[in-house]
Amino acid sequence: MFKKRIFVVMMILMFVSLSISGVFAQDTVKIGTLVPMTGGLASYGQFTRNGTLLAQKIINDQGGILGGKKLELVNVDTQTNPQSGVDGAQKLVSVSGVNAIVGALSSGVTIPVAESVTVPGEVVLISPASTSPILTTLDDNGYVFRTVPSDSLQGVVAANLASNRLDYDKLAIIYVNNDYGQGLNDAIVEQFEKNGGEITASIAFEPNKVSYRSELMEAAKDSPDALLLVAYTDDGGITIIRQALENGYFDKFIFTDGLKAPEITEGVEQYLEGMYGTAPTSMPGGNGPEIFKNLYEKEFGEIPPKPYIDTSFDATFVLALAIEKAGSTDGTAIRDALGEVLSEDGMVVNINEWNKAKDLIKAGQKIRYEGASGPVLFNQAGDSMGAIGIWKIKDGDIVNDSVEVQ
Amino acid sequence: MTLGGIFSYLVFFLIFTGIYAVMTLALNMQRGFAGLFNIGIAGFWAVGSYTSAIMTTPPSAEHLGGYNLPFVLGLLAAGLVAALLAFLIGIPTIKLREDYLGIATIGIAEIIRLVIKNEEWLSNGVRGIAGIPKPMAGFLGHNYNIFFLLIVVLIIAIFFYLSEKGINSPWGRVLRAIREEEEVVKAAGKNVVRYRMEAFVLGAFMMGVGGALYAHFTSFISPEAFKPMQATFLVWIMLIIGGSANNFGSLVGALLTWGIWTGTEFLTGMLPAAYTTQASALRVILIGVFLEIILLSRPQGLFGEKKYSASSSKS
Amino acid sequence: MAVQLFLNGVILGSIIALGAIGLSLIYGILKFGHFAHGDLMTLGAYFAFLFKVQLALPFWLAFILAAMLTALVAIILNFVLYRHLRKRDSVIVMISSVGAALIIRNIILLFWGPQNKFYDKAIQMPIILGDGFLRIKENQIVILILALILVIAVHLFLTRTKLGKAMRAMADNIDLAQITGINTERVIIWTWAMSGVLTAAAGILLAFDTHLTPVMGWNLLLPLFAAVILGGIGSPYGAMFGGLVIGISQEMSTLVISAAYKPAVAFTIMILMLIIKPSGLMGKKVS
Repeated sequence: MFKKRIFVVMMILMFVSLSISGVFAQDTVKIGTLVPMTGGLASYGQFTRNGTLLAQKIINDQGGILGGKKLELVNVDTQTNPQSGVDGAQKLVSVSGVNAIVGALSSGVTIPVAESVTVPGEVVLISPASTSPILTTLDDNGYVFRTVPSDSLQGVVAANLASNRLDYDKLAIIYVNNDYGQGLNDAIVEQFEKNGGEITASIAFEPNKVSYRSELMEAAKDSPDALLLVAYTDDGGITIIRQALENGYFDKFIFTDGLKAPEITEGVEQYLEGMYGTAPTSMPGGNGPEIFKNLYEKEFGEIPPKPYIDTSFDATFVLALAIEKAGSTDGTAIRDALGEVLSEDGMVVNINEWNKAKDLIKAGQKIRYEGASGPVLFNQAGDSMGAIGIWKIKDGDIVNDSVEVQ
Repeated sequence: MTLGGIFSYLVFFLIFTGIYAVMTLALNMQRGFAGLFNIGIAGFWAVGSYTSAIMTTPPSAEHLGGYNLPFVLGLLAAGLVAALLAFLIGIPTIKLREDYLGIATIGIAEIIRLVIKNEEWLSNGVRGIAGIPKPMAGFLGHNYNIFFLLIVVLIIAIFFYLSEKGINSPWGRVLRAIREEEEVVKAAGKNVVRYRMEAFVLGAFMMGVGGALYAHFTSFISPEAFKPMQATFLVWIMLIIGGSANNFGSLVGALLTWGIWTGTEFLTGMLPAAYTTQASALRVILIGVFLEIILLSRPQGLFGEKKYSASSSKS
Repeated sequence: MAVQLFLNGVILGSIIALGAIGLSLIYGILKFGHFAHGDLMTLGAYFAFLFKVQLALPFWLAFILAAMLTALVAIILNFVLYRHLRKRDSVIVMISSVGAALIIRNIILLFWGPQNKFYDKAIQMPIILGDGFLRIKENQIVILILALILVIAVHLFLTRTKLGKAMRAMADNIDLAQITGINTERVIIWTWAMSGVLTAAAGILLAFDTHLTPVMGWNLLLPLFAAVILGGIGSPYGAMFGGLVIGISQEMSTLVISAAYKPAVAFTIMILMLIIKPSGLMGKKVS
């Protein structure tokens, strides 16, 4: 008897939770968001989600989408894990019925989601953060886009920063052992050697260990001029910086986008003063980034200098543009509309001008979208033509220094 | 939410459940029938996935091979390589206490993950292998998942049938007798180590095939997919909820556990953004508490051990 | 360089040793691998964080309070879970400890979040000996001294007190110990308490040397098991020795293999040990 009761209770629990999301269904236009709330990239997921929510707010405050309907965002947690990510994406597509998704963050989740759910299901997927070169060559029928440049671009800028601006001849690299770290490392090595420099060590590290002293010792062996560190703050980046300083292995660093966060200087301000880093950033000229910063701070408080908040805003916004253009939420129509609506020589639309965008679309005009991360334009492969910025640590804060256009 | 949408998610849900069910059946062979403590399922899963991926993808400069073999051969190879791995692990550990096997398997699983991550010539390292072919994908188009579900169901049916058949045979009776009273069986002159090893290797074969199914379904694998939580402990929870030494229980356990695991996702997805991190942690806590309650109140699982034919072996 | 790696290994090794003593005793007495041991270690470190940073107590007081709280959690785990399951299959107990590990880790995540935490935000510059030949931080000297004090305390406890002797006797042969009239339940509770204290100490010292993260203990679980198996299950002295060997060989391994494979070193030693001498260096014969 007991057995049966547990069984029944569990079945009920299962189906209640399966169907509960449908009960509250209204006539809205849905976009899925697929970001990690737990797992390795959890600390990025929350802010990334804020980016998408801000876009939703602007669109709904300015009269909604497709003739006054509300834009609804449905989020699932990928847990930074492909099994959960693929399952979550399938839920978004099948149960919530979305035909456009913003996500995922890590390429290790984005690619299986694309291959097994969104491409066969003819759903448009825009990743705000996956920088893997595999995405460029993916056989995706044009359904996969990203609003962040491929990591080869940042590698070139970082290597040039080291050899040209900082005059380093010998560089050691420590990079996080995943596709992000590896991709950047390869690009940096190639460009730095092309510039005539020497890479004395290029070492992959396993995330979330407590000690990186032996990696650091290995990196410091041939007395390089500086350490180029490719890491995220939470997976070991901060530990490596601190242990490098504490043990006197390095006193000069170059950082990449994953470390563009204020936490890295806490307690070590005086040692990191004047260090440089790189990160995907907005193109010069447009004022999207400033508007975005103001809007974000009004809504959520101070904006953390973490990457992918602006790119996820843009991913949501351009999806909305494409839906408006297509006049429907059909995946194929959205895909085609994405190519039609955005153009370099279109009419300028800022991130807070959703109404203007709607009018332009109604008039059949093309749009140059001055996004939060700079103008968003996709090439044939669905890649964003972004820019890379150089940032600097000044008085313990992170400040943007200059922008390198590709 | 449309009826068609629910249906297509249900198909998808059942495919995932099915892949996990293969793993649970395999674990049941090792743990349920032979009492073996394998907590390195992730390792066998990964080996199966990568073997099949390497066998069936077109030639590639990025990883070993790309041998362009048909899907069925990929599955078979995945099972065989995983079985071989189990055999090698088994040689030093299978004759020892059961917990040593447990610690050895979790260690091996970790080493396998490191090898996959770091040996680019073999597995394309952290970038993973993309474009793993889906059988017959070209012909079937929109309803492809239904076809894949049929493949999964077919494989479950084969494993289920063979497993039941095996456990009711004299071989299975000896196996269960070893689990209950090892000394008696030893005294009866049976080679205990050999029987255990056979169960371990057979279970690993099934895990390898399950891993291959996963690889072909998602078309892309990378080291991220083979973490202990999703690849090992979830399977254990499935087995325990369904009931050890009961193949039918294993299937139901897989269905219920994956249902709860993914069902609670819907609930956390509806919370405001600021709470989601906490909610997701809370969700794992709930699953953990649920497991402990089952262990404390019904350690035999929902179904308990199935009564098989008389468990005493002929001496 | 080798000398420096050796020193780093000794520091890591003494931390592993502290955690492994309790794990080994529990393994020996209760006959199951306690998979929540690593996460108990993390919990101890976070308790100390609570007292030292969030409540601004002095370090020594935070250390003691955290160790006591962790011991309490270990005893509660014993009462709620392991005591009931012990009579059954040891695999069931082990799986329940895996469940406990998940629960503890996610409770930490719930209260303290995924970000790295530090006892002290400022960093400490090393004492450099012999023109960069050897670098050591003050904190690391403190860690070595504290670890040594704790190990001596454990030694005195195990050899000089009735309770300690009973613990060793039980780890050696529980049936024999029962016949000689040892109150086994009481000894078990004290074993959990002692493991809790030592494990918390290991976690705190690890975080003191580096930083706190919710997965720090989980990542150290296999080195802990490797130390226990190397030293012989149930042997506290074996665990101390095993911990040092594992710590030193993990750090020194980077001389010959890529640092990416460092986590594999502990497993490899463990597997080799299982092949060559499954009873461990100082353990009794395994049936």
